[in-house]
Amino acid sequence: MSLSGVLNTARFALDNSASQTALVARNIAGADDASYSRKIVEGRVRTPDLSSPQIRRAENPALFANATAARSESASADILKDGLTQMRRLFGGDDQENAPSTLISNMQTALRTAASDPSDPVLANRAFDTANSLANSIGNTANALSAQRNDIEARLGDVAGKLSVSLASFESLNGRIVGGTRLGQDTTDLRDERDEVLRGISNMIGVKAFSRADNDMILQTDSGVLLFETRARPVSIQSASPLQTGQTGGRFMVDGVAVAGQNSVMPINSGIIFGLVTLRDGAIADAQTKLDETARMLISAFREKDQTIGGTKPDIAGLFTVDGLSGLPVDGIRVPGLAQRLTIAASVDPTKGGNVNLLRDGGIGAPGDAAYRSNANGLSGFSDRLNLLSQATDKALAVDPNAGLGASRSVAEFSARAFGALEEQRRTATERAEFSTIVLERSTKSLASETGVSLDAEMARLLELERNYSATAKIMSVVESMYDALFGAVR
Amino acid sequence: MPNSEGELVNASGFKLLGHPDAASGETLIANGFDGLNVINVNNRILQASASEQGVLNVNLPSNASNIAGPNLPSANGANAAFSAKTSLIAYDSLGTEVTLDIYFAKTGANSWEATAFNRAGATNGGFPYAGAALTTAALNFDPASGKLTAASANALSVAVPGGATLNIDLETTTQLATGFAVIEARLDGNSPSVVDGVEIAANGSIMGILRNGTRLPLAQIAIAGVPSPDLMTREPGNVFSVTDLSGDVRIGTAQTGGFGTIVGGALEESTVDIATELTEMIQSQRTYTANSKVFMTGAELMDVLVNLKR
Repeated sequence: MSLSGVLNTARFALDNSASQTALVARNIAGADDASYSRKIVEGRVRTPDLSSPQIRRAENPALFANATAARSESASADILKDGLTQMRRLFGGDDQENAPSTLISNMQTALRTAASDPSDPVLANRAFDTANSLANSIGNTANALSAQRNDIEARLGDVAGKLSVSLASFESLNGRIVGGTRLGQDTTDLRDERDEVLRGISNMIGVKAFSRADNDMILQTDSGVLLFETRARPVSIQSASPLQTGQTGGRFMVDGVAVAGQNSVMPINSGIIFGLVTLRDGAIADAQTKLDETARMLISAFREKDQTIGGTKPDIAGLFTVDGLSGLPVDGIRVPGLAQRLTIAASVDPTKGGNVNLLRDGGIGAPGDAAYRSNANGLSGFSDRLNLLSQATDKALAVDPNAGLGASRSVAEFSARAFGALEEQRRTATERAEFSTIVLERSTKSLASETGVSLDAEMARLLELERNYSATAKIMSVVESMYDALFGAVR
Repeated sequence: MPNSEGELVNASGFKLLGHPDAASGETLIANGFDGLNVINVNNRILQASASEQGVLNVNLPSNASNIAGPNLPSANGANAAFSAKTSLIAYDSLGTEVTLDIYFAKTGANSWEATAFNRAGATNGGFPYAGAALTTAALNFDPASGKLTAASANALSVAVPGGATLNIDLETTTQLATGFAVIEARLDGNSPSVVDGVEIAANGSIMGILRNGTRLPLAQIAIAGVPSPDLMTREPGNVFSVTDLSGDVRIGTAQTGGFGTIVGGALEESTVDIATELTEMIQSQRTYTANSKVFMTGAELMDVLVNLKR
């Protein structure tokens, strides 16, 4: 090799050092960015080579897939935990002071006390108050649950919109990456950006990604429905807002396939969308069923019968009723939305001009009809009916098996078990959320240690490059002095 | 580099000649420049190609429930059911994107039906489709391995509306007890796009890189050789021309018959070495000096001789 060849090689070596130094600078600049992955020069350029050095980025597809799955899982677990905690708050938190079971037992106590002195108007008023707050609380809780469910429906719409936007930006980034890769450009930064978009998508819906040639990527949901392949696939929610109690929520569609909601063909099992749909169709719908049943059973337990001997008049709603009710609700069948309409009969409500003493005398449902009156003579010491009422909540009644608590239970037991089931769900959800957060942290950490920038390593690399650079420069000055010697020979 | 007309030229404006298209079947004339054209990267400004080949590799969930005959996707009924669905983007002859909905329905133990529809005919993104199924195939799996049996259909032959017949290879499809998953999916073809960049391969073929990444062969650079390259005439602009002394030209392409290879984006450097040249120069300077000394000595001798006679 001639001396000019040596100079050429040195020039390329300088180029090489310079581009690697630039890369170190890039890495250091991205050190604090969680979405940045370390860039590496592929293949050292030793001789004058015509191709520019290829830049590669530190990747670990397996760890990335793990972190993606963990993120989806954690997102859905968090949603479930938050939703159930919110529901629990409706029932009054740790003391359960708004839970129907607590209020039912309060009412029972008050009725029992009233029975001990039926003539005392203060005790009768107290009994009325407890019954009133029970009816109000059930109504309010049912309304709040319905609002929470509608919120979820609206949020699902938002998430569907965001997912579409994310998929569109994924599409444009992917197009640039594939085009750039085929033209031989450096697409590593674009790929970092695409991974960041993918992270956002994995938060919303459980997603599996795999790569094709030219850094092309295909996304599918964790159930195998395509989200992205060359083009983003349509995502939408078949929303039915406002959602009535007992009405099925909209299904979430990806690429024309239902992936969440009732009768979904290829159901997903992680991500915010999964969490929201599970909450909407599972826990909340379940709690609504149980509240409706509690309301229906209260009406049934406090029903009034024809008190005349051999009387044939039908049973009517007593203390607990709903506006515009004709006849009693059928036993053992849930009436959707009943809890939201539950009230105390106006005839006993003093604020509505009613008479509290009807609690003692009976005939609340039909104050004008003597047939339903237990205390026909209006004796102030009559305690039989109050005693009966105080036992009503402990009497077994038919339950809708769809509520998931058997076919026959007393109201008191039913409501206590219903709250217990909710509490159990919340506890499981909290544990799962905590666990999945830990898994997410672990997998992100191990991914970061594989692909992230380590400042120490970069500085060490910089020193190496500096040494390399000065050695190359030294070669050039040696060649220069050799030429000097040669030219000196020519006189 | 391309000039204003899209022709590839060198720094002095000489146009690069080539053989229109390696795939066109035109043969080069071995001893003349006829049949060579100016290579132009603009004349292919918009290119679309229809999808013809593809691969779809999925796993079908073996534990899916069976779907009754009248409800199969191939019946295209409003209440059609399916076990899994995926979709692929294909291109027709004009490069229009055609989304193919591909349904998989389990018809019985180890047997499945794969059906393809054109998404354009879907009703609210699903059944019933306006047209009948584009194709349907019965897949049978080996219960021992979960792979397709030898006798089973192993491809979907889809007549893409307005395009070519697309053959989607399903050979690697499996039926295992896990969820549906797309493992590989790719179709060829591309939408109309302009030539974004030009790449020159070692064999001299010039590939236009389209915006969507597809590579299209534009032309192949022809190489000319002469028996005696040293006797060619050097012309300005880094070119040489044939002379009587150099012999007739032979035309060929790189990597064939001793024509070497072509390196794109590179400029050949002079092989002159300064040190060698300087050394040779010193040598010839010394020879010159030595020769002139001979003259001097001769002249002195003549002087002496002439001075003898006084």
